[in-house]
Amino acid sequence: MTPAQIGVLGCVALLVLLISSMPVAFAMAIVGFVGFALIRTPDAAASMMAADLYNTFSSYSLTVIPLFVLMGQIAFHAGISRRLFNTAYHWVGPLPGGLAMATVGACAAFGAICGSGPATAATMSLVALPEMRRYGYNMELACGTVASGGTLGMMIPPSVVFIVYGIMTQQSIGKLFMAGIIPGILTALLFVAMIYINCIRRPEMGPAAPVPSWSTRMWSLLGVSETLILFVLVIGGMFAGYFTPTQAAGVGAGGSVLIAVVRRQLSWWGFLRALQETMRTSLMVMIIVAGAVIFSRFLAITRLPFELATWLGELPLPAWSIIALIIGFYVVAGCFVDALALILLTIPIFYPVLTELKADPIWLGAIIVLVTQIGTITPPVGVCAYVVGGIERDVPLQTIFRGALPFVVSLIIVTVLCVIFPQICTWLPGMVKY
Amino acid sequence: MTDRQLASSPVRRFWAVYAAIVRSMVYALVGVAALGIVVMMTITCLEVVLRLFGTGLKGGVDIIGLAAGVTMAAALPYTTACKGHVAIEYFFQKLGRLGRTVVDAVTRLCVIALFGFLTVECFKYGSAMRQPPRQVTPTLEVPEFWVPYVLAVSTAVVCLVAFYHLFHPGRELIKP
Repeated sequence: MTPAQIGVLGCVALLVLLISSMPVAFAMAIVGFVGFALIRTPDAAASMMAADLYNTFSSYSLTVIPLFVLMGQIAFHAGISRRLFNTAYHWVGPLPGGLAMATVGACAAFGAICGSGPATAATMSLVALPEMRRYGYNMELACGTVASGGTLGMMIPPSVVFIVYGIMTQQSIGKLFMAGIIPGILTALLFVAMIYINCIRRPEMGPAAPVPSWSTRMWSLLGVSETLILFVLVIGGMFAGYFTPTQAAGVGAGGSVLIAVVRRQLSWWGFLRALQETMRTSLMVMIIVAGAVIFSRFLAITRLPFELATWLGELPLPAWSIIALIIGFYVVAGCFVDALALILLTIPIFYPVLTELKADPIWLGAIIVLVTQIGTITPPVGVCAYVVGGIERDVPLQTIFRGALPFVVSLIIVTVLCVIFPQICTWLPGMVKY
Repeated sequence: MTDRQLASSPVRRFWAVYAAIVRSMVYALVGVAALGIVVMMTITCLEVVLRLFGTGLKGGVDIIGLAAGVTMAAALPYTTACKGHVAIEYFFQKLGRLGRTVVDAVTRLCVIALFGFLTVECFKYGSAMRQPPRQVTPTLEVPEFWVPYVLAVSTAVVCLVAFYHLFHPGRELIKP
């Protein structure tokens, strides 16, 4: 059997293992190991696996993941997410659908200090859903908003998905973060517009909250101060070239602890819970990275990605149509596979193809994150919808998916805009120094 | 057999003791991982602050790398114990009860085999690093061999966790 044939068999075996609910990381490691052993020797495969696991876990550049996750966890346990929601609530709450708009605003702001979509959705479910229920909001709109707002955490920096994409493709994480800012803001604005239009058409869906006094509104602005400080420190520091991404993540985590301690908002118990959640979430990501490294070593010796790239490159089709096909694949696959796992599984295969087609890797990263965002709120495997459903157990999942549908339309519009006008994603990264 | 007899059966008692012992191992490693995260955060902040005063922190990258290795290794059993790994459950959930039980058992056996193998390989890797010339970190020249040993211990504990899950389908050893 030729290495390329073993490669194809390996991909089929991987698919079988994934379908049988084996954790993605373990499936990739097993197939990578067996395939490598078949092509080279079992001894070489065994040493490669142990070395790759060790090197991934102790990689300095990957420490950015636990540190950014810690920053988000501390922010949650110190009540920063609640204060963000309160500020947004005082400013837009009195509008039709105002609480839902406030939720989107708070999600976008929380996304600026938390790198994960599901974590943002979980946090905002706890903060915003009880308020929307209290004001008689339609739960379809309320849950759909929280699930969709949560996806903003994937796009607005710092984003774990961007970090992993950057490491896999050896692109600047700073530039990728910058690429996510404008599409992230655009998505948030479209979400707000979508809520407003819906609530104007059907006012019973999102009744307006009482109008607060101007002094209350002004005082509430203090609620965004911590987030603003952290965001300016972390992203501004990277943008100015003062911090590397790891240093920015460390300073962000340290800064959030300092803010929480100064404000006396963080108990020892909260701190320990934040550490526990950080290690669980980070390991979940890091073990997939380790599995993907092992799997991509196997793919590299089969030369499958390069042969696929050559074959696709020689097809009598324009480059844009192949890129469109690959993006289409991400939209469909994103409905079945977790965004991070999907990127780690497919980047070793598609990235050589896309570079062969001269696609801008930074633009591509932003587009892939955008389309995988769609998968997190669509059936059957919409992670953010499941997170909201897990917290709000009396709301059926189909109601949440139905509620998220208008937001899927918004995400598609943003994706199309970013494809037609790539500058939306590439303008800010062009200015970054690191 | 009555419920009371069943509850006090040797098999039940075995699993209760087994779960308690494995849980305590997992929590001991959680403590190590938590310490590792704090070290990473503190050293990174210290590095940045000291740079403000014109001096760097010599070997900061070395310490952070080692701490990251230990943290991730030690967090592995906890994440496995609370079934925190990403998996595609959609098709699995479509299977009947028997199908799910069989597939779950095969999956767990594969995980035990994988991590059992990794335990041996990580131990061998650590031992190879220990042989002269010892592998050390670039700046501080701290020996690195002990990190793969921690990884070997963690992967061994993962095997124990997966063994518990094999006989208790649908149940986590630790609630997240």
